[in-house]
Amino acid sequence: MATWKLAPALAAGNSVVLKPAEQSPLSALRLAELAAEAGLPDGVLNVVPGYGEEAGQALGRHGDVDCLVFTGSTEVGKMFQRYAGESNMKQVWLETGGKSPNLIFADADLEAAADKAAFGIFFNQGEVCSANSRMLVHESIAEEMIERMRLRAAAIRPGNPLDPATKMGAMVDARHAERVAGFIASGRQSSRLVAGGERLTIGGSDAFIEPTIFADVPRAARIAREEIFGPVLAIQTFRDEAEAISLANDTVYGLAASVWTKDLSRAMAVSEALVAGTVSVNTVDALSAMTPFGGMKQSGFGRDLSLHSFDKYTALKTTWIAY
Amino acid sequence: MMQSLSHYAARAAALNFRTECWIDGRFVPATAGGRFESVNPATGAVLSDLARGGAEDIDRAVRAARAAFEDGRWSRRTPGARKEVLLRLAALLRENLEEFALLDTLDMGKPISETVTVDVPGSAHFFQWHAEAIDKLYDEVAPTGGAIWRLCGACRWGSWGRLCRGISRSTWRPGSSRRRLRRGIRWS
Repeated sequence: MATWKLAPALAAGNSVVLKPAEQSPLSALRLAELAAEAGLPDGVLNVVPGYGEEAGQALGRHGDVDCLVFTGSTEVGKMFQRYAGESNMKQVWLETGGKSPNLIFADADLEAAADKAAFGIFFNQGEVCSANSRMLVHESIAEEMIERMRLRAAAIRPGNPLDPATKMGAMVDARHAERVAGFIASGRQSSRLVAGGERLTIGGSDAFIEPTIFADVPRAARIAREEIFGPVLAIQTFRDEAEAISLANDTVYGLAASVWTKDLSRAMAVSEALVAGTVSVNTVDALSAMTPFGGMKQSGFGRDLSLHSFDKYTALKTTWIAY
Repeated sequence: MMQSLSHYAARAAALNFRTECWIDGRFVPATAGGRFESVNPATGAVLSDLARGGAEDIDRAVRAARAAFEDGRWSRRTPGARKEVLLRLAALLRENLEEFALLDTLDMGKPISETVTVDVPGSAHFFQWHAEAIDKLYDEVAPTGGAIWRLCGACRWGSWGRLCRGISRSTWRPGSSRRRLRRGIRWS
């Protein structure tokens, strides 16, 4: 749901027009109705469902919108910057794509690292902007780590999302499942398939993708460089800290990163060297309402959550008073 | 607490979807009358058809938002009064947790175990957190000296748009920011 942005925007006193993603408009419409029940006055929150190229673009180009915030792909984020430049120069804040690295050093707690890494790539079918979709492992523990990940992937079977026992549901739509399957096909060419790799038909729908892991992924491979937004993990190895940092930062994105080590000095040094909005040490994708979340480089700019989130929804104004 | 598959399936089948544009406090069809389908990706079944909002509807919504902003019905309420409304919204979200969890699970294919335990509670939490914060932020007076003071406040934007792709990410657990908290600005 849209609450990361809606909550601070409304709290700060703004009026809002929300255009939900065309794949998921239902909860946003119900939320607007519930907000009215809570006492939000008419006109303060409006929801217009529709397609991005129609309603979304109209919002981006509207002459009386002061500020636009967007969560989604880097490609569409750039469109909103262009729309703003071609219309009223509205402020645009973007939280866009990611290819977040998860660095595992040899001294890490490998069992905990594998558990969290599986969560980091398979939660919500990998449809998470900060999904840890690249695992960078020290070469001395690579095969051991690959085996741990293989076991975790094999333990997750996609299924009916309404079943409380299901840990992985369907991709957001069949078109996206097709796109993810395309990445897997390219991964089969460039890399070694360790787990999964199949698109599944369950209950009459072919929008399911198996948890998938590739090893021996070259730096230049598509699955190492492009955001897949699906349950596909690319594992690469490094020889030393310098190579780990170089691999981690060799991306146009900079949303999140994780570092696993028991060495405090290394944890601090590597955290500082990683170009990412959030670095999690000895965990993956840590998050709180109290801490800022957002990207560097082409993962966007501006921060959601924390008191900093209010910055996007307010403008500083200086008033001088002579007396 | 999690319920059984048969419980969720029965509740899902009985859900009532809101399918029109919500503009100025009421549901209205799209001006051009177009519709688009919302599909459950886990079954391929059409959940509902919805108003296909276009440029005219966006314009109507922006006008409504602008009018609401300018007359101050919300924008000039005290932060404390806005807090009260948003805290009620957080409470209502919790009361209707299962309905929201089902809506997102049906619409996006996301497991009910996640929408019930993570997404919807998270949404309520984020409304509550920002509501509770908003009346604790102070404006700033700069030490310019002499007979002139500089007051540095923050004024709200008027209407703003927001888009999201249909993916929520709302786990939360302790973390820390290495960035210093900014000095206390804010709010007139």
